[in-house]
Amino acid sequence: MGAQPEAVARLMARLAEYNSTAVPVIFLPNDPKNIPALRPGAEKGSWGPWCTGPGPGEGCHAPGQKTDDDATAPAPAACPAGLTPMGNTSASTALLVCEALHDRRSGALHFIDRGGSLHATVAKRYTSVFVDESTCWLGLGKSKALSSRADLLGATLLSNAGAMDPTLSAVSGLAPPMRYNGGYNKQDPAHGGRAVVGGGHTFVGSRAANVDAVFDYLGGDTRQNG
Amino acid sequence: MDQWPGKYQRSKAIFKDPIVENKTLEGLWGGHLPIVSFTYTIPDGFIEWTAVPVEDSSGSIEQRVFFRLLKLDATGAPVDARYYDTYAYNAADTIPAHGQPAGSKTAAKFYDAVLAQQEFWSATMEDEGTMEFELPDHNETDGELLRQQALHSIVRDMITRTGGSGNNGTGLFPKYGVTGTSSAKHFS
Repeated sequence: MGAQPEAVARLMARLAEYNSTAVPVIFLPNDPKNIPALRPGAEKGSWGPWCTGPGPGEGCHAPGQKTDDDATAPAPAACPAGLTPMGNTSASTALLVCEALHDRRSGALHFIDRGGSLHATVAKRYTSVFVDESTCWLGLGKSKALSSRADLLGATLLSNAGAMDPTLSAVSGLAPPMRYNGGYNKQDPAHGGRAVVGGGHTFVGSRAANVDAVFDYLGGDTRQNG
Repeated sequence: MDQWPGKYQRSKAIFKDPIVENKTLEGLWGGHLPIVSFTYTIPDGFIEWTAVPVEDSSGSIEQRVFFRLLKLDATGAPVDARYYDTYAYNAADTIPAHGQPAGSKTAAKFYDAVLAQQEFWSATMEDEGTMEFELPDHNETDGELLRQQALHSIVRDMITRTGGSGNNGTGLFPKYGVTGTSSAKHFS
């Protein structure tokens, strides 16, 4: 069968006709209220309608209704003193996000509604990643500690604690943390000439995503998205 | 944070500052939520890196994750921010493939995801009747940290539990976390 440009043109015209009247697809956000385990009262554990209508507060999204994809939320109240305004949530909730940023080891995100009331707080707390390995292994040395056929580390830990329970710092200081890092290259001076390790630290995203973002735990953009 | 320009002579860094590696901190937002965050010390401030996953109610085994990279000066004032969306292919969003600034749709969705995590796990803990408890600080033992780690272990169990919805061994839906999926690395 030879080329049939007229048939192709006819079919393309038909597609254009369909597209000219097509309604845009709306990808609504997932709604946890439809999860059986989270439904209230006698409906708990069952499937069923979870909204009463398309109006505000009724839980349903009508066709054409703005979803959280629309980030043009009206500005709510200002942040309290000492907190930094970081932006808003999407239009469906339109909460102002205020964050305490002055302390590296702690802080919080505060979600504030349009009336200035606190909607939610998410606390932040950090602990040190780095462990000086020379202080580990209870002074036994890595080789001796790891080659012991008995539980030398455990026995020493309990012996050192005496009649008391071992402390968290004593237990966590036994050995350095094991970490899986990707993207290092020995030519990269930021990583001290360590060998290349494959893979990445975090989730790699959707198979079809065009932002295949992978960061190692030192923040390196291992897929070079820039 | 990664100065080597790489095979294609392009630095992999989002923010091109040398970090003081032994001052790196890590944490979970909310204490026990599967929102992982690191901070890195740089000469004139620090950089915070945070990843928050979104629920996977459909069981597609493709987990949407938002990232925030935030650069701050020594006083904690923001200098720059970049937000990333691993579902940026979504045609309805038309989000370009590079980091988005503060005030963008991606930034708003990052905060949506943080709030959703907090609200989902609060409701779930209450629904499950999770025991409330306090642990004292004693002899260098951080009781609050232990409490948060205990709660996070419950969260991780619920995310990764074998025999979850669909009997596919990938955990409890809607899966506000990523561990256990075929396309995921360990997350928290």
